[in-house]
Amino acid sequence: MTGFVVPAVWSIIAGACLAIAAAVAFKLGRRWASVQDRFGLVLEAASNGLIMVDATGCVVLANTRAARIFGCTREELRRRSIGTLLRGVRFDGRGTTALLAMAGGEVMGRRIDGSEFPLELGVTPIEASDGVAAVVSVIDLTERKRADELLERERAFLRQVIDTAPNVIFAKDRDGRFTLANRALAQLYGTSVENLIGRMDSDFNHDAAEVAAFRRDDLRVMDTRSELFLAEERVTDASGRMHYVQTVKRPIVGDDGIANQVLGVATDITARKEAELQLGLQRNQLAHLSRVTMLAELSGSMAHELNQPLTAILSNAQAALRFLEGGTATPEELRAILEDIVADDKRAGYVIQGLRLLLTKGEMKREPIEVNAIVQDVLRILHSDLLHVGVDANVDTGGGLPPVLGDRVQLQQVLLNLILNGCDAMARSDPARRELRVSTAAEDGYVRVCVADRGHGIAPEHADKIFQPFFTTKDHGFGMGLSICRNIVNTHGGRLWAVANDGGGTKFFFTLPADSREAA
Amino acid sequence: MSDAPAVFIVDDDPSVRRATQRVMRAAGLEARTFASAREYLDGYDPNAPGCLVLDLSMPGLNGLELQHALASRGGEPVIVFMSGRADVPASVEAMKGGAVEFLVKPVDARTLLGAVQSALAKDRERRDARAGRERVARRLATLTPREMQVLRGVVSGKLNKQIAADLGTAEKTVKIQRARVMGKMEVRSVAELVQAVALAGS
Repeated sequence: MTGFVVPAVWSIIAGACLAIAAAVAFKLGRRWASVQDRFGLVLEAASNGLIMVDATGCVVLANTRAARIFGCTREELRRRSIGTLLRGVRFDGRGTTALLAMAGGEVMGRRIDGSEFPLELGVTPIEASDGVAAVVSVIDLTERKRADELLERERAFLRQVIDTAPNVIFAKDRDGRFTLANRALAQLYGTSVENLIGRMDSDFNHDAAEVAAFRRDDLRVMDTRSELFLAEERVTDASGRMHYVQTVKRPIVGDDGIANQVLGVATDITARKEAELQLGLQRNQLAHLSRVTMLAELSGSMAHELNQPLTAILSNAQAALRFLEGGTATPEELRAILEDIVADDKRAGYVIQGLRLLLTKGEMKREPIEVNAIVQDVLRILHSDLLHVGVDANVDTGGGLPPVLGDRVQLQQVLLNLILNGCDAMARSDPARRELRVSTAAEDGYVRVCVADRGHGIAPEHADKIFQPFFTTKDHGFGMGLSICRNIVNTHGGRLWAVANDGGGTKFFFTLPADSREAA
Repeated sequence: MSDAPAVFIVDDDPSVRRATQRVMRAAGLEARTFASAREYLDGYDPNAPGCLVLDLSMPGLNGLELQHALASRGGEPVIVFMSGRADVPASVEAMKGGAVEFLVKPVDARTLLGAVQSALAKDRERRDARAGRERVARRLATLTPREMQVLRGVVSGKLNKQIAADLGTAEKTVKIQRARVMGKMEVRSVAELVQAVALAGS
């Protein structure tokens, strides 16, 4: 609209000037020449092309700018009918009526050489004694048109860019209304881009919690005028399916320094997220499989671990029966026997509980865990296995260890695996040298666990392979143990590595970050 | 040293140890317990009658190692092995080493007592046999060299005349010496003498 208002105003001003100038000239006839000079100056100073026509539409006077617009000199313009300069204007002798009808609009101008161009026309009718009937103001729109077209092309190009982007791009005002939206957002919300503008999230998204979160973040960005990065947020699409997106929101700050809009770009990370979940699930399944395999190997010693209390219970009960039958039973004796039976039954229950825990299949938990308790649990599970293979296990648990955050079963699995590996490595060692050392220590916000054996060690050419899947130097085993262990430790935010043990064998270390929530 | 036979229970598991001891006591047997093979070995008395109830897998010296250690000290302990697992190679080795029984836990009291009774009987037999051997050896030690020569002749079934010829002496002298050998060896017939000498040589 402004494009039309400005020349109209200008033509009114110019017309007024001319009218005043003409009136002055009429009243002060004596000073006509000087007035005409001034009139010429005013004409030339105007930024528009100005043409004065008489009642028949003939050009009486024109300024240089007007002449330039029509591609000729002022002299060439004089006496020419305005009708030849404009397309579609027919003068039927009814004065300036036809001209007035076209005023304020865009018409096609015609240069002297016949070429046409877009022209904005302003017409101010005046009454003058010398026959001037109207002042016509002309603006060549060729340049502006070209600029407008360029702008429009650029706008279309940008529109194409934001619509082609797979990311959701939007801008919203303080009321939460979309001022910009791209096709990705329209598709997400099951509507069109046009339909989004002026509407709000709540018009398309029926998850009130999500909408409230968007709104809160939008206002925060506008109020603080600072960017916000949301690593992961949820958005429900038109079909009710949940998407995970990663979003950047940025304030759009106006000239007044106030942010009344927020610009957002959201990347759909659902596929990545699902792949991660799938991977985590597979990792858990693999870890479980590995645990079950390990337990299968341990089944002999687990049976022994169960056998001990069962043996004691059976013997105690049968002894009690014999005491009773023989009439030699004393209440003290029977009480002692029953107490032992109760204790052994509990002990058997504990073994089964530990077994069941290791066989547990499920997602990784995150709970505060005492690493030393894990060491004790694992050594209890392995007690008879260590005896069986003749390995002497020494434990050196450090005091004052901070708890770690993690999954008890998985951490037990790591330790079980490392200890069993150590035993395997010493299977052919001198029995006097079958010594395994498990130690724990606190270290810079981490808990460090070390399992050191006196076995055959790791061949240098195998050093970087032992953590790879399916790599094994054992006759049995499927080469997944250490790979899974490293995975578990990494998932807990720690590290697992191996070094040669001074004096033969290998030392495996792993670290676990201390539970910072506890420390805080 | 006690003359009454005892059951020596060696097991690292205190609960199993106590329960086994109760089974023995309920059957009227004297039972002594040891928490490790080393503890038993340190107080080992070859002359104490009885048998061992031995756990196979223990920290430090295990059951088989204790069996070897006792054998190397010249002991002949009668052993009932108990094991948490049916370990075939270990049971073969134990039986080769002279174990009476290899039982897999949990063991029924009757089975255990049966094994212990036969172990005690075997120990008694062995001790009796050894006592007999020692008795004969003591008697043999009282013989003079000439009497020993006569004894060899008699045992190999020679007549007095043949022995006298071999030794270059009179038949009458051999007859007197022969009677003295029979007297010193406390036997009344040649058959008894042969049996005693065979026992000593076994």
